[in-house]
Amino acid sequence: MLTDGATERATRAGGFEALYVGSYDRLVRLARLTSADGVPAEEIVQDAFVQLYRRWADVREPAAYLRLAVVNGCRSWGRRRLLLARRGDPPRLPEPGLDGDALAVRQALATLSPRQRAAVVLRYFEDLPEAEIARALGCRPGTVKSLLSRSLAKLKGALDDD
Amino acid sequence: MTTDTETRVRSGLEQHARSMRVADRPPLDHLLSPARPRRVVRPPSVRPLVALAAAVVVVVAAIALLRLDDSTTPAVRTSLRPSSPVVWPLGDDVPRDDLWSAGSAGFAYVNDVLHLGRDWYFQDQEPDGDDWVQRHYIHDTLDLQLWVDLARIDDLWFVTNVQTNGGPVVTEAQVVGDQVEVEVALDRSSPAPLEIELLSDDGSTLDTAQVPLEDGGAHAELSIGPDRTAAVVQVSAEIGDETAVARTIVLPASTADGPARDLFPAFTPVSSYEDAWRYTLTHPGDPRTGWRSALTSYVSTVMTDRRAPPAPTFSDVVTRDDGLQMSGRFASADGGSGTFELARVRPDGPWFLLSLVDDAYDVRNVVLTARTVEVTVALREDTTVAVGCGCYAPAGRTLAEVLGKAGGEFTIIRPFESAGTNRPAAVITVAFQSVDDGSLFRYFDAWSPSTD
Repeated sequence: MLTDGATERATRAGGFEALYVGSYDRLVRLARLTSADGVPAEEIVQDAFVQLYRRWADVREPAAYLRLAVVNGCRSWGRRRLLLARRGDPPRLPEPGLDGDALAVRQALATLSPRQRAAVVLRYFEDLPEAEIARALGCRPGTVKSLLSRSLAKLKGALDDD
Repeated sequence: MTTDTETRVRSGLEQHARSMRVADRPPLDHLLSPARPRRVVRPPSVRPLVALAAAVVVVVAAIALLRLDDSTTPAVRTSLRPSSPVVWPLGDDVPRDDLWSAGSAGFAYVNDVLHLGRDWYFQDQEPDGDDWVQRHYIHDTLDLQLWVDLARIDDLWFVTNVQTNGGPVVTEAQVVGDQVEVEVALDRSSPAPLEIELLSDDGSTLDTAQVPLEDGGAHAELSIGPDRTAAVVQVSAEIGDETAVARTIVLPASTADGPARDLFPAFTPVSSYEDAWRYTLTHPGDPRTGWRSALTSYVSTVMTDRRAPPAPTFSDVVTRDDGLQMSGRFASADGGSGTFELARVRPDGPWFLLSLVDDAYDVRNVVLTARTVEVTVALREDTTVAVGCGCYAPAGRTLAEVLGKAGGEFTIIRPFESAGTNRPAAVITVAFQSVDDGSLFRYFDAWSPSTD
């Protein structure tokens, strides 16, 4: 049951619900591609929608806000995972059945740092321009350019070795 | 031009995404309802692993916290205090549905009160208790850590304490012969060695040492020379891509009661900029000299129509026999009152501000980094304290306000609004305002975003 404040917001939430229905699945996929194995993608995406709901009146670009929240949520999870990795075996998800380029790219992505991986996924999965990626990663567009350049070089090496 | 690698990456990502199973979306009202826990739905095969991961995170966090608690460094963070009074929110202006979980309340506090934007990340929560928790946040680009204590009262969550890891702290500094022995604590990582300097009051370096940070602490012995009995100790720590600086006045042992900490650290190095004033209370363009006029620029009312505020009055002023330390009371025209304490390293030298305590609140600590000011405030009365900062004109601009009860202590973190400036050095004004009675302290300090 929603409180009065939430009800008031809910009355103009038609756009919110449409966004929820229309973008949930893709955001979960974005979370999984951006992150290391084991990320609780659904949880991160649901948190992102809760955050957006609270700020619905103030957020001008809800889709960009969600993307940012998801990428940040995954990076936060990545830190936990690093901590876990130092302490023992990190949790691993069973990989879906991949083959060919999908498997090779997945394995190559695993060689990148979380920040590099996020930049690559935002560029080549979300098709975002460098300026948008910079917003999502909290850095300058020039940094994105160098991030992508280094990432592609690393990916090329990994894919060529494959 | 698209390369083969780019094409393969794009294709591989699309194929991988298509192969993913995504669990059904939870109903929107379940997700957003404040009356019950959020229902997180994951594919069945994932749930046990995530639960295991969460359990491991809690254990690892507990171990980390225990290690921190065992530390001998005077860490800013303290143990959980579930009985602490509520410091936020005290009024009714915060929507109740922001307080329905520890997560939502912590999120609201970090985002709505601290105003540091999108770079705060939730790291972990400890313990997973029913009535009180401590949530740990990290600021991604500033290497700041924040511990927010929350307690549940009548099914709503309230902030009871907030602490950060802060900057370097000089815990001991004493003159032994012609040496100054310095102990430093820093409750965060710093891969580069700490730079510890002994300075005269004109900013010139008497001695310097670079020492590694070990177990949160560092020790140095510096030469003060045979003709001096007091000096400024300055510690610079590289944190991420910033330098955080703390300063201390070391006074002769016969008159000093431990290091007299300067509340307002300036950035290093001092080079071509007007050096001397950066270490004193006096602005270089200000013809006023002496402690009364200098202190007046710190204790003032809000200026309107650019008219200077009425000067404060001072009373009970006591100067020690050696002339190196002074204390007294002030009363400003707006009704604010409190105490001040000054120190200097030679009898005819400029004064440093050691403390300025309002009767309603006590500014315990000020840490400047290249992008933020972190202010720790302890309240003596139930009041609202606001903190703002910026280059030259912060008063009236987006002061972060925090309601608090007497006895509460918390940290307010504010980004500099003109952090992108390319000035080689800039004057940062940090304003502390007691919103309830309108009294304002106006502090000046120097900040150099560039070390060139």
